[in-house]
Amino acid sequence: MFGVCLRYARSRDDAADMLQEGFVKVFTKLDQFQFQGSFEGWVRRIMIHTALRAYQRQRFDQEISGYEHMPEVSVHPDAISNLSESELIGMINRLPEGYKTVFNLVAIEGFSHAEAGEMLGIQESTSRSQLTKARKLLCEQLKKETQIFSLIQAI
Amino acid sequence: MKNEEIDKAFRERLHDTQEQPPAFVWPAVESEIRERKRRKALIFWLMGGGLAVFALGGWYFRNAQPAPLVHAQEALVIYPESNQINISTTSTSNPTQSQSKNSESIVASTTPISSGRKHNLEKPYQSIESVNAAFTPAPAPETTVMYSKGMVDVLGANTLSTIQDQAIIPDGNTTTAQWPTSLGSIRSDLTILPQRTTFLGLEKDQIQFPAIDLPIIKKRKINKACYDFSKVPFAWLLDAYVGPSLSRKSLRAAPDDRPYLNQRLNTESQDWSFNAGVRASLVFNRHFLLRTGLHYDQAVETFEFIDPNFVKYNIVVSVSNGMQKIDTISIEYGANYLKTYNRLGWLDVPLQLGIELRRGHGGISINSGVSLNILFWKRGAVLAPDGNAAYFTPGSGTYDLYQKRVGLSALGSIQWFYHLSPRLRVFAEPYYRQILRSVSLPSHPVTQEYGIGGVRLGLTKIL
Repeated sequence: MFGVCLRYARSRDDAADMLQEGFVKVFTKLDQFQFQGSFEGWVRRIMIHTALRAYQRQRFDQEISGYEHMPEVSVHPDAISNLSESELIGMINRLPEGYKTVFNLVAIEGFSHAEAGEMLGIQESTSRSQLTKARKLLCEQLKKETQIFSLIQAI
Repeated sequence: MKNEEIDKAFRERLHDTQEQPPAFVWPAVESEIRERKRRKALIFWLMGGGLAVFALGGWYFRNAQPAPLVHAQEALVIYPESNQINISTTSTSNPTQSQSKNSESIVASTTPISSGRKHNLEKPYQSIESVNAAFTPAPAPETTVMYSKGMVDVLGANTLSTIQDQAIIPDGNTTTAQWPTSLGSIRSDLTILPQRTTFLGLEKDQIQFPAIDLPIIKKRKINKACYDFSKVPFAWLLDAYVGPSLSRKSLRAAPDDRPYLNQRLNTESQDWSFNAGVRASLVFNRHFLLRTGLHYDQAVETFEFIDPNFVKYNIVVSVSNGMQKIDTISIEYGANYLKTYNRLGWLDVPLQLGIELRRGHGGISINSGVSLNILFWKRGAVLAPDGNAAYFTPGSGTYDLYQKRVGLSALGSIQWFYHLSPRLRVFAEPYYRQILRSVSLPSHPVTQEYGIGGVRLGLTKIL
């Protein structure tokens, strides 16, 4: 669960705070677990909600839609596999807050745009737009990483 | 890579990432859960206490609200000079009367009786004077009017309709109900018949009653076990008390100092302590109090710390022939377990305003006010920001953590008391005080605040 928190937090300390707050909720609300679905999924949802609440005051910019069909950035398929988990988390953390949260919710957790929009209090189209921008920025970062990796290999 | 492929690649790598959280998280979780449970219990007891006080107050007021019923036996002695009022009791029930369990009949007659005979009314009378006020003297006809229980309630300020229903007027054609003239007037300090428009089927202005004279009026019976505050405009009370207390500590820190805050939380725990004091109270206007005195509150905390990198150097110096030389050098190292019982004491001058409600031998008082700290006393050790245990006892010189004095506190209490004798009471008084500002120095990364709750158990002497 600390990995989940790390993806949403700005720093390791913030992630530790989120983890602490999340587990306090888990232990104080254990009686509310309905045994529907996995326990891990229930804990994960609590962690995500805790993380979202931590940054809920920072409202995302309401962006106009239309970025859903941005041109794809060409990235080598091995670009991701060459990076460690912590490097990938670092890349996500370097995204603007809104992009990062939507990418975490939709791309990694697997929530729909409608669900993510409801959780974040934004429109579905905004969620789509944020995700597209997040992907673009990540691809740009991956491209740079790939170039560096290629250079290192060449040396 | 397509969009979906990027998502999939990140999801596969990051969805189930296992990361080791920092070591302080789990103790901090445990500590916070414990703190929440304690807070929940405190709220539960406060609510329970509040409800109990509310219920007690409600019960008290419910019983105290009706004007004190004065037993006629205690309140009135009638010396009719020439005519007679003959009041007797019988045992008929009347469900319409709530205040009278035994119904009774009253016979009023103008037949002379011997002067000086005492007639004691057996039922509670609230408003004898009203009879005097409402009934105009009139010539006494040879009429006997028999009243059932309702008559008692006329005098007791109850409904008229009942009287109308139950009154028996032998000469039913008479339009004026009359009482013997020579009974004089009744004097009483009690309040009066309520708004009535009819009596025995007659309009108010048609009713004429003679004034009834009561030469002696004995007021309500005084409870000899209690001090009568109505006799004096001011009275002084002197309290001495002691009792258990428990402090509630609140620690706050900026996000950057959270790890240190969590370490503090893990190493400190609250314990039971005590409070004590003396207090003088001025009672004014019978029910109000102004209280001041000296109050001491103490907080006890346990500090437990294991220093994993403990190193201690022992150097023994011996003196021979006036020369000092090093005899032994030793080094102790390892993990050092340190446990101290920290004590923080506050000596205060409280100033409280209270209201006191008395009934029978007992009563309650509700007090609130402020408390000014004049001495803040502290002994013990704490985890310093550098990760080492440090003593904050003044004079030990290791770590300056607390303010010299803490200023004002908000203070509230509810006292229940019981009279052992007219001038001596015992009391139990739950109280809570919140120190309004931080007890720690502003330079310290953790802001430390205190609230203290406890019970004062003591004696009150009425001077």
